[in-house]
Amino acid sequence: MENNISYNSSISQEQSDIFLIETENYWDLLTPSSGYTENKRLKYPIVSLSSKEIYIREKFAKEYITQIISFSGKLIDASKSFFKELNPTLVFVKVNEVLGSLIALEPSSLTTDLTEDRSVFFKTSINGYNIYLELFFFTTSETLDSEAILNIYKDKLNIYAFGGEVFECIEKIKQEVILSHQTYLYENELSDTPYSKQIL
Amino acid sequence: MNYPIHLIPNKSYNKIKWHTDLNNHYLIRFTDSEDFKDNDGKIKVTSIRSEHVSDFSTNLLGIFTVKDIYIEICGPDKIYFNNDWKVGTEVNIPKYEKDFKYNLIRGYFFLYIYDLQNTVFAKYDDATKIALHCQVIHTPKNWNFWHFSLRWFYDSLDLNTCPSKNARHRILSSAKAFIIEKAIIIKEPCYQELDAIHYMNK
Repeated sequence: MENNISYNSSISQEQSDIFLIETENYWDLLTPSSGYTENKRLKYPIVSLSSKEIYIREKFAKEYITQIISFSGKLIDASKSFFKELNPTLVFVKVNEVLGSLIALEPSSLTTDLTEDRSVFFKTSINGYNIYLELFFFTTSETLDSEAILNIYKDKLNIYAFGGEVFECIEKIKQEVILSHQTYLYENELSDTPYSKQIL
Repeated sequence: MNYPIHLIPNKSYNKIKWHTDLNNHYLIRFTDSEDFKDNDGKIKVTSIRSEHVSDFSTNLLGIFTVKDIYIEICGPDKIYFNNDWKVGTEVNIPKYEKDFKYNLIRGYFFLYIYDLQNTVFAKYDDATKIALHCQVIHTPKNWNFWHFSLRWFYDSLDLNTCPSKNARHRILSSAKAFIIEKAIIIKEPCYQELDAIHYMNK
């Protein structure tokens, strides 16, 4: 806590705590169970966290708008050909959810393409993992069913494959990519401390 | 313009059986346009046409050179030239403009055989529990002896015999991810010709 004061002495401890709570609430609403907040709380002091969070929110919004505009154009084109039997609004809603979830994981790259198999193929990199998520659509007149296929690569090797509902795939990405990366960082940071060297 | 005769199957050739020597060789695959790279430095999924994935056509680099990738078979005998070559038979030579043309808007990428052959490219952690592996198979055509296919297997079953739609989706999707992951697009690799003992009749 002393660190917080040294960053900006004009902000009281109480004010910092309130701001932190508000920021976390906002972030949790935006990305439920993203696992992001816990990570940053460990690594950054409160005042630094707040500015970081503001930056992240702006970055999220920019990336999200870019992706949605790009995808909308592709969907309009595909709706005239291989996506014409699908309801574009329902496709858009589904893809919108996936894009929001993936962007919240702070990918270093993200591309979205529509394929002739009536699928949307997401290609993204997060924490050095290459992630391929394909969403196949099946249609009826009123509803839109889908099946998601997930493949995760690390160092050119497939480390995980899964097929199921899209929310399950997003959870698997968090487990395999975000949580394992946090564990890796934690273990490596700990191993560099004088305390861990004493133990060793 | 003459057809590059080094691509034509010769009566004295045999089909190439799998041998570890092939591990040091590269395959080349064309894309429909030169614009096939994404901003992330990988190939675009749209450059891998889904209908082609189940039996993914490539060519063995060596006697087949990079400039041969621009050859496009066309015309009324297209089916004949794209048919599998039967060992010991002579084939017609494609004629320029009637049977083949040069399609210079194509792009291309490379695959290293060592990265592909018998590689398990997905083990599903779901109800299906399927494990998939890739095989590199020599599939010579009447227009091109150096044609190879990538085929996808679960257990010992070929994707093309797969009755389940769910399993088929998994295999196709994983195969696309695998090709994107393994594709070499940055520079042309240093390649060599395959030793003739692997395809010449004794």
